[in-house]
Amino acid sequence: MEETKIIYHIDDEETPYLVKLPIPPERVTLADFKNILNRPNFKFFFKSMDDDFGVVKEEIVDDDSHLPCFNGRVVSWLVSAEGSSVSDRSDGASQCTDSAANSEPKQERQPIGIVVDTQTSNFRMAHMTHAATRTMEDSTCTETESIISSRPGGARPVRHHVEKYDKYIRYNGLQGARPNGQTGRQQRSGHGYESSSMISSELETTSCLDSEDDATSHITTTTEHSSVSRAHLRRRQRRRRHRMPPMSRTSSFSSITDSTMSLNIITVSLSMDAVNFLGISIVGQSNKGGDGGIYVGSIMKGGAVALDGRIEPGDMILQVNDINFENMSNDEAVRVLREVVQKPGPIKLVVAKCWEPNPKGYFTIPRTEPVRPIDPGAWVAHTAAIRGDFPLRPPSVSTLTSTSSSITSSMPDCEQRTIEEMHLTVRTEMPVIVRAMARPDSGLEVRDRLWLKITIPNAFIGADVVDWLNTHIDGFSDRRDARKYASQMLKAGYIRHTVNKITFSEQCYYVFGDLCSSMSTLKLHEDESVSVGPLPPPSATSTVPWGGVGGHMPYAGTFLPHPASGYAPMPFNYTNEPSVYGFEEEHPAKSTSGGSSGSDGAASLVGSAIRAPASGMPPNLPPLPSSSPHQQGAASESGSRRSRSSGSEQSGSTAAAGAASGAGSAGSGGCSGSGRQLQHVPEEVSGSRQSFRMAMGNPCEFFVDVM
Amino acid sequence: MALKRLFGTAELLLGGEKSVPAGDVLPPEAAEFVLGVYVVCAQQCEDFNLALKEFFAARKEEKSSRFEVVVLSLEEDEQPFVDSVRDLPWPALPRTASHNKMRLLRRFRIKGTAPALALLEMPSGRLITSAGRDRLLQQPENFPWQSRSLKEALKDVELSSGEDKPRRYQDLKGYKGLYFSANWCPPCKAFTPQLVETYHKVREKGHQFDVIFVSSDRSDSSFELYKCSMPWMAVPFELSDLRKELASTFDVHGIPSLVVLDPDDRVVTDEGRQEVCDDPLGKDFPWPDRRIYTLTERTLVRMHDRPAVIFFVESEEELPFAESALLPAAQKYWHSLRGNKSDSPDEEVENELQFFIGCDSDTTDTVREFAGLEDWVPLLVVLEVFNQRAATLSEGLEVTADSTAHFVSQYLSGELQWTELTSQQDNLLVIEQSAEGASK
Repeated sequence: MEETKIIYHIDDEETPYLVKLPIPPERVTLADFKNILNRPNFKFFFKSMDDDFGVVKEEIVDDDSHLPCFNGRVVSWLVSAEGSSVSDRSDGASQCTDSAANSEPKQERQPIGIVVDTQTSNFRMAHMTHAATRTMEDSTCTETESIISSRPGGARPVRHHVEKYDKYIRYNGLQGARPNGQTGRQQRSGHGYESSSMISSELETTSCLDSEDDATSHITTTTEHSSVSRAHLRRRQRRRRHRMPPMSRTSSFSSITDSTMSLNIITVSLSMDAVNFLGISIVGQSNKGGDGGIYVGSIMKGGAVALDGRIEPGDMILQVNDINFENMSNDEAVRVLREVVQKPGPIKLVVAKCWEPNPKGYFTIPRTEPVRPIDPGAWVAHTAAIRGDFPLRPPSVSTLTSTSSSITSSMPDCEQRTIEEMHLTVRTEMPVIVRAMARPDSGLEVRDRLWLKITIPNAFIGADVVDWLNTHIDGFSDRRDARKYASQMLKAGYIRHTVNKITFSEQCYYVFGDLCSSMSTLKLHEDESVSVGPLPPPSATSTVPWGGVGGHMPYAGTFLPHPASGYAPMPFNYTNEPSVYGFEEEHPAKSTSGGSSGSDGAASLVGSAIRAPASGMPPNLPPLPSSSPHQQGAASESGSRRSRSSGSEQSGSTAAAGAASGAGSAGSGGCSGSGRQLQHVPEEVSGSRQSFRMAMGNPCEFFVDVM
Repeated sequence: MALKRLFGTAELLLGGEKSVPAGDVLPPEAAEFVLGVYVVCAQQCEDFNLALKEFFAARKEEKSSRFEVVVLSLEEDEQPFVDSVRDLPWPALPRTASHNKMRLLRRFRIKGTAPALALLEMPSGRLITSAGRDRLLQQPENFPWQSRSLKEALKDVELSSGEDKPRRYQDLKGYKGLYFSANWCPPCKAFTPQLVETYHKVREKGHQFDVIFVSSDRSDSSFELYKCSMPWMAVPFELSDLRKELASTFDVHGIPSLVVLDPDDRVVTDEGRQEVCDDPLGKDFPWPDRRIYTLTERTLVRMHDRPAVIFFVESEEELPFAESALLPAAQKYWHSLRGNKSDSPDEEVENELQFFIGCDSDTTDTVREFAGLEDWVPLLVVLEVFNQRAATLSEGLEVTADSTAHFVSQYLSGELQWTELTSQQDNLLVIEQSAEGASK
C-alpha cells in the first residue's frame, strides 16, 4: 500500500518528526496532515518548488490543497501561529515570539524518527540553506534565522519563507566566486539535493538587508536559554584581531623561561693559538626571577669560536675555564669572561644549547619554508647553521662608517637609496662606487683587523671587495673583471693597502683611501646638524617598532653592534679598554630605526645598546649624540646579510623571548615601513634604561657584549 | 609487508636516487632483526654517520643479531635531501611530506635533534629504544639496548627526600612524575615553582602523585641546593649512570622535562611541563593523551600530524557546553579504540582523532584562518592539517552530543565531504577582502 512520509519540524526543535500517512503522495492534502497532528495553532509551511525562486517554504492554508512532495516525502515546518505578534515582518511569514515559544509545552510530542538518512533530500534542503547563509560572510540578514530558531521549546518562529530562500539561494550562487574553499562546502551541503546550484545560478544577486542584523543582535541578547541556543549557529562576535601574516606570527608567550636547555652540555676548548679572539657577542637575559644567564649572541667570522664551529648563537654559556657561572649574576659572569678572554692561553667554554619551546609548524611557518618537524632545538640549530649567523661586521666602528651611516639616515638624496636602487655599473664613476662600498649597509665587511699584532682599523679583505663589486656592480663579465676593477681602485687610491703595496691581492687587508675619508668627514658635519629629530609619536614608539624587533631581537645572528652606530670603536682585539658590558638599555624607538627589516632593527638595537667606552666615556653616560645608525637602505643590503637576518629571526626567539613576550606578538609583519618615520631619535631618550623597560612592559633585560 | 605499513612505502632509495623495493635490501618480511631508523639532516650528522657506520660494520661481523638500518632524512628539498643520504651505506626512505615524517618521528618517539637513531624489533615493529644515538655513543654494549623497566632500574635505590626517611620506588603506588631538571638551567629554575604549585594542587585533590627529581646538575652542591626548592624525592646525585639511563629511557633531551607515569609505570605523558603550564591547577591530571584539549598555542602543535575534531565556541563560558557536546563522542571513540587494540603503547593508533575545544583567541583565529573557516560559532570541524583538508558539521545542525557523535562516526566511515584547504595566499586574500569590507 502506498504511503506518504511527512517530515515536519516544529518551531526550533532540533529533531524533526516523521509521520506516515496511508495515502499516496499525489493525493495527500493538508487536511490529512492536520487530522493526524491535531494541532490547531500552527501555521503550516511546506517545502515547495517555486518557478521563480526555486526551493521555498510555502505556507499552505487551504485544507484541500495537495501537499508538495519530493521523492515520496513531504517536508513541513509547523510554526506557532500566535507568535506572529512580536516581530512580525512585512511579509508576515516570519515570526519571533518569545512568549508563545516558552508557553508551548515541549513534551507534548515525541520524536517519531530521526530523519538523517542521506536520501532525505528535503531535510538536507534545509541544511543547504543554512549552509548557504553560513558561507556568506557578510550575509548578516540570514543570521536572524538561526538565532531565533534556536530558542528552546515550544513555538517556533519561522524564518523560512520565500524571501529568505531567495536570498539564501543567491548566496549559494555567489559562492563559487569566493576563493575560500567554499565550493567544496557547497557541494557538500547540496548533497542529496539535486538542484541547488542550478536554481541559484538563475538568480541575480541583490544586497542584503542591513536592518535585519539589528534584529539579530536584539534577539540574541534576550535569549535566556543560552545552553540551548549555543548549539545553534550564530556569527561570533568579531574580535578585534591584530592581523598579521598568519604564518609568521611570533609567539606571544615565549620567553627564556619557556625554552628548553639541552641536557647535553658541550665543553669546547679553544687553543687560541691561531686566532686570539673569541669572536662572539654575549647576550644577557634577566627577568623577575633574577638573571637568566648569558648566551652567545652572534659568532663572528674568523674568531676562535667560529673556527671551532660547535658553539652556535643562542647557546648558554655555563662556564669558562674552571669558573662556573651558575651562581653568578650576569654582570659577574660577563666580567669573568672578559677577564679570562684578556689573558693569553687556551680558553675552555662550557655551553648548553637552548631551544625554543614550541614548533608551530604548519600554523606559523610559511608553507614555502621547509618545515623541520623534529625537535625545535634541532630546527633552531639547524637553521642557524644553514644561515650562518655571522655578524655582519665586527663591532669596531670607525668614524668613516658611522658618518656615512648618518648620511644615509639624514640625507634624502641618493645616499638614501639602497645600493640596488643606485644601479651601479662599471660606467658609474669610481668615487660613487667607492662611496657605496663604504656605506655601512653595503654588505662589505669592514672592521678592525689584526695583522701582525697591529690593529688595522676599518679594514677589509681584498677578496671581499672583489665579491662585493661583482655582486653589486653591473657590467662585469666575470669575477676577474671585478678583480681588475678593484685593482684600479687601489691604483687610483680609493682603497689603500695597509703598507701601501700597489698590486692588488685578494688575501690582503685594505682600507678606504683618503679620498673617501675626506668625503665622509664632510658628511659628518651635516649629520650632526640633522640627525637629532623629533620624537616619534608615543604610540608608534611603544608598539609597532618593538613588534618589529621583539621576535628576533635577542640573539639574532645579526646581533652585532652595528658598525654605523657611531659609538667609539669596540676593539676586536681585546686591548685594555674598560668593560663595555652593562648596556642593558634600549629604547624601543631605537629599534625602529631599522624599520625596513626586522633584523636590521635588531642590529641597530644592539648597536646602540653598546656604548663602547674606548673613547674614555663611562658606559652609563649618554652616548655620543651623533649616532643613530638608522638606515633605511639597510633593507636592501646584500643578499648575504639578508639571509642572515632571516636566520636570526628564526633562531632568535630564545633569548629574545623575554622581549617577545611583551611585544613580540605585535608581529614581525607589521614592522616594515612603519618605523620609517622614526629615524631620528635623540640618543638621550633612546638610551634610557627606564624607558626601555617601561616600553617593554616586561622586566626583562638584555645586554650585549662582545669579546 | 610490515615495513610498508610502518613507513607507508615499500620503496627505498639507494644513494639518495635509485629506487629499489624494500624487499631487495632488507630481510624478508617474517625475519627477525633489529631495524635502526636513522634520522638525519644535511648538517651536523657527519660525526654520527661515522660512528654508526663503524658500529654497523661491527654488528655485521658479529652476526649474532641481525641489524639493518633505514635512513629517514628530515630534509624536504631535493638537494639537501640527497646531500643528507647520499653518502650513507643504508637505504633511505623517499623524501616525504613533513606530516608523514612527523608521524614517523612520533611513532618512533624521536624528539631529540637529528641525528637520532631508533631501534625497532622486526617484524613486530615494536620500538626498542629511541635513544639509540646516546646509547651507541655512551654505552654501546648490550645492543640492542632494551631498556630496563623502571622498577628494575630503581630497585633498591633510596630516593632521598627532604622529609624523614628516604623512600623506594617500589613503594610508590600512585602516579609518578620524573622531573628532569638542573639548577644551572634558567628555564628549569623558572618552572620548578610552577610544578611545586601544581604538585600540591594535584595532591590536594586526592591524587597520589609523587615526583622524583632526576638531576642534570653539574655538581653535588648545586644538586643539593636545587633540591631544597622541591618538596619531593630525588634520585641521588652520585648515581649518575642511573640518571643518564632514565633520561635515555624516556628520551629526554632537554630540560626541564616532566614525564608522568601511571601506577603501572606506563607513560601517561612526557609533556608534563607543557601540561603544567597549561593546566596549573591540575584539573586534567594526569594529563592523558586521550582527553579534550583546549586549543592553545601549545596544544596546537598536536594537530600537525593527527586529525582533530575541533569545536569552536565563542567564549570560555561555553566550555561546559562544548564539553558536554564533545565528550560523549570522544569517549565513544576512545572506547572503540580500546576495544580492538592491545594496551601496548607501541601499537598506537595512527591517525588517532584528537578532540579540541577552541574559544575565541588568537590561536583559534590562526586555525580558522588556516582552515578557511568562517566566523561562526558554534562550529564543529574536523581538520586534517597534514592532508590540507577540513570538514564542517552540516550547517544548520545543532552541535549537540548526538550530532557530534554522528559527525565523528561519519568521519570514521569516510562519509564526510571534505573541503580542500586553499593555499595561504587565498586565505590572505579573503582576510584582506573582509578587512576591506569592514572598513567601508
